[in-house]
Amino acid sequence: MDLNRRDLLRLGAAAAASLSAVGCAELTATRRADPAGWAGKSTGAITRIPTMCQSCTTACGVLATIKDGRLLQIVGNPEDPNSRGSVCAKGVAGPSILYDPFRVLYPLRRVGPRGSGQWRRITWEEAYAEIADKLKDIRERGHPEEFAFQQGRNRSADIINRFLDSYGTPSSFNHRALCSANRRAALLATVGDSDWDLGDYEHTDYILNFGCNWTEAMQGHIPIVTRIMQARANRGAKIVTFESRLSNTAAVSDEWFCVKPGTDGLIALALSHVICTEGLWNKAWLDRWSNYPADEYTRHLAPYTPELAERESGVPADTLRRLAREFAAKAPRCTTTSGRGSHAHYNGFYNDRAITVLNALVGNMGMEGGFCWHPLSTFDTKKQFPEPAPVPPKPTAKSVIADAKQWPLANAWNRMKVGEIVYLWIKERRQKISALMTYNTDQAWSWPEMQLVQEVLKDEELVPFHFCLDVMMSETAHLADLVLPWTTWLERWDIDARPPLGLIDYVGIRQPVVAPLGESKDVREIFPELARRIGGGMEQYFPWASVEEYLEQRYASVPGGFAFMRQHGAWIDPAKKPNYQPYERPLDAEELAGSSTDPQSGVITKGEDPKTKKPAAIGIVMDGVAVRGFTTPSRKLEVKSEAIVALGRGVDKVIEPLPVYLPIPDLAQGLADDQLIMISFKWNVHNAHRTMQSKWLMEIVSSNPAWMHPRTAKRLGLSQGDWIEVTGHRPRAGDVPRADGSPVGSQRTRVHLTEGVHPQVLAFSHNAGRWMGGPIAAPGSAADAWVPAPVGDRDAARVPWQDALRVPQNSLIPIYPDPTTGQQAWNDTVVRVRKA
Amino acid sequence: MARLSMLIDLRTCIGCHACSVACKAEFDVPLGTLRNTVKYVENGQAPQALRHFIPVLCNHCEDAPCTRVCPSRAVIRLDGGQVVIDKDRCRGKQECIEACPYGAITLHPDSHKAQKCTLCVHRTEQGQAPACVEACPTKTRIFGDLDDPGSELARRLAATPTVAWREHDGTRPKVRYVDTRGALPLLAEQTMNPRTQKQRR
Amino acid sequence: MSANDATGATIDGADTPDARAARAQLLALCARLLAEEVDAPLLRALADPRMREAMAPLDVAFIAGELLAQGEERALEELAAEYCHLFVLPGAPCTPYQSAFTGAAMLGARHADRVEEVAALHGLAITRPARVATSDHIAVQLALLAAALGRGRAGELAVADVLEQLLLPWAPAYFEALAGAARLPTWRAVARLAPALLHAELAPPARASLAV
Repeated sequence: MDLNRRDLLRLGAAAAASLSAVGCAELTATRRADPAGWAGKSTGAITRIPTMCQSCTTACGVLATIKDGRLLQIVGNPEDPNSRGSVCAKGVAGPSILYDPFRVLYPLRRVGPRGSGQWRRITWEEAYAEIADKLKDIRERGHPEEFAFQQGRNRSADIINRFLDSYGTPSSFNHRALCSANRRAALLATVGDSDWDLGDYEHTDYILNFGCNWTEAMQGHIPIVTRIMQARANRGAKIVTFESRLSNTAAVSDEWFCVKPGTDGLIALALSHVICTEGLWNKAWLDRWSNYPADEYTRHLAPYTPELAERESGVPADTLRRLAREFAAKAPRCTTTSGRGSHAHYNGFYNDRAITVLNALVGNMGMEGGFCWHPLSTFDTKKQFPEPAPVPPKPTAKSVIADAKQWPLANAWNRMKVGEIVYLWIKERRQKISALMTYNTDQAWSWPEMQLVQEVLKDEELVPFHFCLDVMMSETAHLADLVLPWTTWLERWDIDARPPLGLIDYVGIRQPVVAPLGESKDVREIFPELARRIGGGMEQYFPWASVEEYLEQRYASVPGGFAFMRQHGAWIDPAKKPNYQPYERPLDAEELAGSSTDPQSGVITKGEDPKTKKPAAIGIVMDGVAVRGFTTPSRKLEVKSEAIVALGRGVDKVIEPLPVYLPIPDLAQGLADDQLIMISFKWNVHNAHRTMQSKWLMEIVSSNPAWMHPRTAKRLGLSQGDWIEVTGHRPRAGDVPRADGSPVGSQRTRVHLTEGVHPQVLAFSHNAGRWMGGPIAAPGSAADAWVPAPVGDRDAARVPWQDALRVPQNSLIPIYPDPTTGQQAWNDTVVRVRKA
Repeated sequence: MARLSMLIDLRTCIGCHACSVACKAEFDVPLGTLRNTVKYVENGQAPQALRHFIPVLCNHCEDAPCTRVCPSRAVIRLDGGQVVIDKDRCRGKQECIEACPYGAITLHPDSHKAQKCTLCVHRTEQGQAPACVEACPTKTRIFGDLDDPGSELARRLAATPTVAWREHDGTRPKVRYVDTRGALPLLAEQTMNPRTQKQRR
Repeated sequence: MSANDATGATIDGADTPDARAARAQLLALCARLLAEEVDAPLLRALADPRMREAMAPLDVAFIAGELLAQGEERALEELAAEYCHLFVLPGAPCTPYQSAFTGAAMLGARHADRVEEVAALHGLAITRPARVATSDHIAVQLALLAAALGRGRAGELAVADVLEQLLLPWAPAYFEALAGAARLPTWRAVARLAPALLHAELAPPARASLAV
């Protein structure tokens, strides 16, 4: 007996003495006065609180079922005009995100070298003190640009921009070029009104999908797919998909064509060629609205024959002719969708220009059932929901990294910037960074050439101070100096809205459905506090006493205001109409007062554009009537864009004014026997680094084997499940940094053979390959990995996710900006494959 | 007496798994066991390679072997026709698990008792739809009473030809599918959960 | 199962008021060491010679001499780093929540419910310190056992329920993990004491089945 009676009593007394010391935790369990009063979990009212999901960027309106302060369930909010009551698995998994067993709940400070994983818990007071101290020092030295802010997604731009602007730093780095820069630039260059097309899917009869995966991913995917399925059910709408693998979107399509990556633009040009040469266009619309004569465009399209497209893409020429005729026949109730499949390429800007102009040819622009858009990608921040004064002025300091001047279209319309070069340029010492804040992103895992990002983050000279706000100990948090516990989307506030699929802008609210767990906080609490501590004039921009007070002000123009929003979750103005044919809207007398019209071009100007200091265009005279036109220099639909040519010339770059097909340099020569084109894709149950801590979602997808075509496998001597070594290479292409063809990195993985992938392609999901984030996000080792079994295997239902493959694909992908916008060419990586 | 069941229209299923996760959340279903999910099956060869999404759940069969084989008489049929497990009677003998051709029943790792889809009787008796039905973004699942000709379920069944999963096993499954692409036969050899040997405790 | 298993020790399980009270105090001390970092007052109490002497039969001290020699500030920092490593970091080897430790999909949830139900059934109130997020924390469960024990005869049913329904399904495995992962004696001591304390509350026939 180790502790006999005497020992026990002595130790008990010592324990009692230590417990009575000041500072003992109050873990006392004492007798309750009225035990019978506890009726258990079956009592308590259930409430449904509306909010907006943020498991992906679509931000569907949802209802959270709450009982006794606990989140039980997420369902869609029928009052959300976009999602209309629908939500996907990522949103439904909300409880598993909120109650992630391995969440960071307390501030942590590193106590060993960066990346050693040694931490201690600190208090928020200690965290605030250290951060405010360091940021104040940088600001007072007169170099606010040395404070860098790195975001991934950001639905709290109001408070974040207010903090960064009042601080004076222009070094606000984002993810836009890793996402959709090319698509946005293509639309802005052509249409001007908006950077996001919103097909009128509910009313359409025909959809040509170029590499977009709206059943699984993409901004708006649930609002989009529900409308497309309705069009299919109600109108018999036809869906045709061009995609290099059998995505779920390709699977639900009526026809799927497995195309060689990077050829979508050529396909669009070939379809345009058929439409123009066979006169299937809407000539009247083109004559009126195109800034380039239809006949000249036809001549421009001459080389882009269906035969050329067949040779390059693999789609039979006769099929392309048929599709072009079908598409045109359904006009104006036809439209396109495009995504990273078409635009995340070296030639991506031109691909999406071709796709955009294809729509113009058939006159579906702004039509019911056609290719539409809305000028507001979110709620109206200027007129209807203005921010409280005073609003801080924009920073005067400059950031070389944010300006990214060598990519002329990156910041031409919006500040899209070039996210993937940030850490390369920090490494090259093009801009000094003294402090970095990471917010809602995991660049050490999500960025291409992740090894370089990690190397820079570990370097205390390049990044002297780094604090990371996240819900998990991510790969990036692991390399920080301070990790701050962030609220999940279920525990915070936002005024938010997304591009409206109903073509009428709306406003939504994100509100906490439970009290924040542990000591998690959101930037709406952190930034005002830091501003007060940094002082120096920053504090004046945060005058409200609480977030609620701030939101009361912002929602003032909603009938019923903040209270209405909290109850319903969304508001749409019943007087507003869908944004059909905005270009035909006549300008009224008030708009025209004080304006002048150019007699040659018909362009109407009034006042001065604050950015360019040139006369501001407001419309165009068409057949004697002053109408709004398009928001382009010519006020017409710019099939030909001189503006982009001029922007390119400014940095000695040649940008083509018309949509063209630019073959991808590496792929033009053909590939060696052991070379494949590696593409990247998303699963429907995952999104970047914010879903992999959910066991329910990991139970469905937790592995990322390499998809390979059986014919290719046979040629390489591979069978299902064989181990391979994959080596990613940098491109050989002009105007791309470090494009010397050298290897980026290698990984071992296993092949999954499927007919659902192009024979020249190796496809990886990027939704696996984590090594941090908790035991759920980073499961098992690759030693005895599981690979999906072929169809027909009785045991294919088993998913032992502990043995999942973890392939960090970004260790294979080079930093590869498109020369025009800087869009990361995710889908152009040439890899060498060998049996391992 | 009613015959509650479900119609699943495979033309609009996008395989998003909202239903799978909704069921997990509703019952805190233990990991590694499924009461409801979406199966992905692929067939064909490029360029006609196809993938199909097939939501599956317990079929609440009219001639359910699970109700017959339980030695504890714990597998019962409710007034709505739903087949459920009486947790108080269940002694974890696993005869029902073995008997189900669909692999719809599993052993709960905590209680070592059988667990399965209840057609969300705790919700439907309050007038709510089952969790999986409410969760589906494309309204692929229609829930209702087969014996109520006015229900949307009955009307849809009357209007469109439907099939059931593994009909050849003869258990008279009640869940019906609109399957214009002939996907269901591809699932003939599969089950929702693996039908393994009885697990040792 | 042998009387001295690898992780635990043996402790007098007598049913006398003072023995029970002593065991309750020890349980409460284990709970405190698991609930939060060691602060200065607790450090001094653990380093006190009387405590060291009382721990002698167990062959382990709460605080190593070498650590004390580095000074109080340094010692507290090292203890805090160790605490974070064992209990706080996501994926920590000894995450103290039953839900997380046993691989549930959600923190707390049905495990925390169970704890609260058992507590309510026996008229025990839980006062969670600020940095204990949910009720299935090992410290909460140990504190409940301590409180039940403190009631003497009247607490027998509560003791049995807390052991059977809450602790025994997972605590032995938990303390084994703690014994393996703890690098400082502070929590190695807890890993020795705690299972022994649980063992001491079991009736003689039940002791044999504590083997894990």
